[in-house]
Amino acid sequence: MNTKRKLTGLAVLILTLTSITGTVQSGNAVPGSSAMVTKGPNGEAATACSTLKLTSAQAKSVRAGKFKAALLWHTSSDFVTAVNSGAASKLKRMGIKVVATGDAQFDTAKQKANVENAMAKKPSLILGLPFDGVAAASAYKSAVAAKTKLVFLSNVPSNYTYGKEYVTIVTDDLAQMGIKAADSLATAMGAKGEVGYIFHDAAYYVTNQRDQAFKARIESKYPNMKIVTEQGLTDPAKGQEIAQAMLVKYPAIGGIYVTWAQPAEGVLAALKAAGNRTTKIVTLDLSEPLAVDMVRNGNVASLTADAAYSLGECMAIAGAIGLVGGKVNPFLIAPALTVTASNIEEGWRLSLNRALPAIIKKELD
Amino acid sequence: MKIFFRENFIYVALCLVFVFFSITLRSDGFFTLNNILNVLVQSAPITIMAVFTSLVLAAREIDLSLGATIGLSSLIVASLLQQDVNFVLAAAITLGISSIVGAINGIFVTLVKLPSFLTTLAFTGVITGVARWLTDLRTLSVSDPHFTAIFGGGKFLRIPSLILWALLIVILGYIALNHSKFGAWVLAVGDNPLSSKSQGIRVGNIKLSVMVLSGFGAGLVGLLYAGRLESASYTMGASDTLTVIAATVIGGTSLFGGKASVPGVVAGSVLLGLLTNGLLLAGFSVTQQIIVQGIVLILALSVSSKSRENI
Repeated sequence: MNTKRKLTGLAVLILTLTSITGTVQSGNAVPGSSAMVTKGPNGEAATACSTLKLTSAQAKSVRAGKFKAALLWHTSSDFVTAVNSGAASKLKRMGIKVVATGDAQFDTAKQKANVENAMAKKPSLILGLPFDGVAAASAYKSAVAAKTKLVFLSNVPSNYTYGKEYVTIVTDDLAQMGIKAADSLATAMGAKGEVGYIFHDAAYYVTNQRDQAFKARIESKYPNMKIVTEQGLTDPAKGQEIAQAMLVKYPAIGGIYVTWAQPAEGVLAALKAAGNRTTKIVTLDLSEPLAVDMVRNGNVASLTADAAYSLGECMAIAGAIGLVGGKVNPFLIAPALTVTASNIEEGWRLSLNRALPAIIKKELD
Repeated sequence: MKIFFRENFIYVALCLVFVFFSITLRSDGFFTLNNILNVLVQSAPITIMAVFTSLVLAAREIDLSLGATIGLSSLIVASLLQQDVNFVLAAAITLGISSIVGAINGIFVTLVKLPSFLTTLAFTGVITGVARWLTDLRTLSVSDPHFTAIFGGGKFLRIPSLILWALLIVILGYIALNHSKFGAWVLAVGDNPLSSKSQGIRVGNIKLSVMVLSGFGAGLVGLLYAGRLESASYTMGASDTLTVIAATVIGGTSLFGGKASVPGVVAGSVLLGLLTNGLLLAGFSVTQQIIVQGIVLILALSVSSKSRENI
């Protein structure tokens, strides 16, 4: 019976490792230095949001235009709340009235319905994130037909042309997100040791550029650090499983990069379950549980975040310029920030424009 | 008066909500032909699915896999169209496959005697997995103009095709439920399966039939979504299952079998669509929209449940 149990356990382990390692992208080409420069979904060169400003003439025209805007997002989250808050606040200051807000809950039919419903209020401007490029082309049809100005966050509907169907795309400095995460991990690991790389295994330029920039930075700047294992991830709930398999195969792993915060929470859980307090985690986006671990000097070394509130403001300004006939560069980026235990309060405020959650503040005191 | 209100609650609620929004949102574009048509178009997939679901619930079964089947169906038809298969044939194949999905559910329920709640819940994972594998998570575009014109994207005599499809299914559903032997058997089986069996009704066949019809209905909605959104994805329809069940139940169909109302189901789904539309136009934040919709749903379900107790 004992032997049978051992054999069964071994079989399960082998199957688990095989299924996980089966997702390893062997021969993943080294991205090279081009991976460390942020580009738009169609290769557009990036322009900093900080360069975007309304001239006084434009500001006057915007106020006189008594325009209306709809904010139609793909989901609800801390990030979206911050973007929405930045956009709504800036629009109000410019004299543009927000007449509708929507959450598509990652449902393409809901996204189309939200646009159609919002169009009843005849908005001159719509800000949103078309999470599914193919379906979004149909979702925004009614807005395009009504010549509503569209400003997109991060993604763009298929076959939409800059300057024709949409004003601009705004996102975070994707390459910098990856680079900062790499630099932060290197600092935490003393620039040496084995690294696990958990990337987003889907064709989505936002996560792809962030991930590839991390990898390129590690491989080009830190010769004593080696990415020993790469695991693709599509389901954010699989972070814990992937990390568990990684730790079994590479028990000496010094650091793990995780493509974004949600699966990183699973990775942290895996480390805790294994009693591992030394392997460092770096990831992108803010997360309360990860931040708590970070301020307790746990496994999480840093969180690299985008300035979500600024993204919203940038979208609003770009939209306003578009409304009065001005031209905006096709791809705008907001800066990335590395948040560690030492600057967490400021980082939370800069990224989400909110006070640090009480539970994290309590840990700091 | 009390009885009238309870018996016809859903219609009263629909009228009240409609009038309320028409008055309060008259300057916000609510009471325009375009907006009303939008509400009907957006409610149509839920209405269609709810008609089929009312048959399933009436037979004392449930199908939790319909959302997954919708997604799979949209992908199948999109894949076929991208391979230049004639759109009629593509639609027929898709409906055939979705009906087979329903049949498989039905076989497990009637022959293997598993509860439909668990069977269809388990099959949701299988169907979703197949859908994900089919295109490796990619969304497919649908650009066949004949297909999109007929299934969800076009108009006939200036009426959106989605509304016409919903009308067709509602009429057929009403006739089937209220004026056919099949409908009578479905209600009898749901009301008292043992008594139905003793009267010679083939309970297993009835249950299998409603599950097949549910699969067919999900397939049809998959086609309509693919036509309306000009795309197909494994996530399509994923969040519709609970909405469909809610619309069906607040429309007067019993979760415990034996009672169903096709007009009620229509009113239920249009009410949900009106709420979504009206709250958005009223400028409610997303959080507020969700809370209000939840409260209205609870109220509607409570009254609906009370009216069944008093029968």
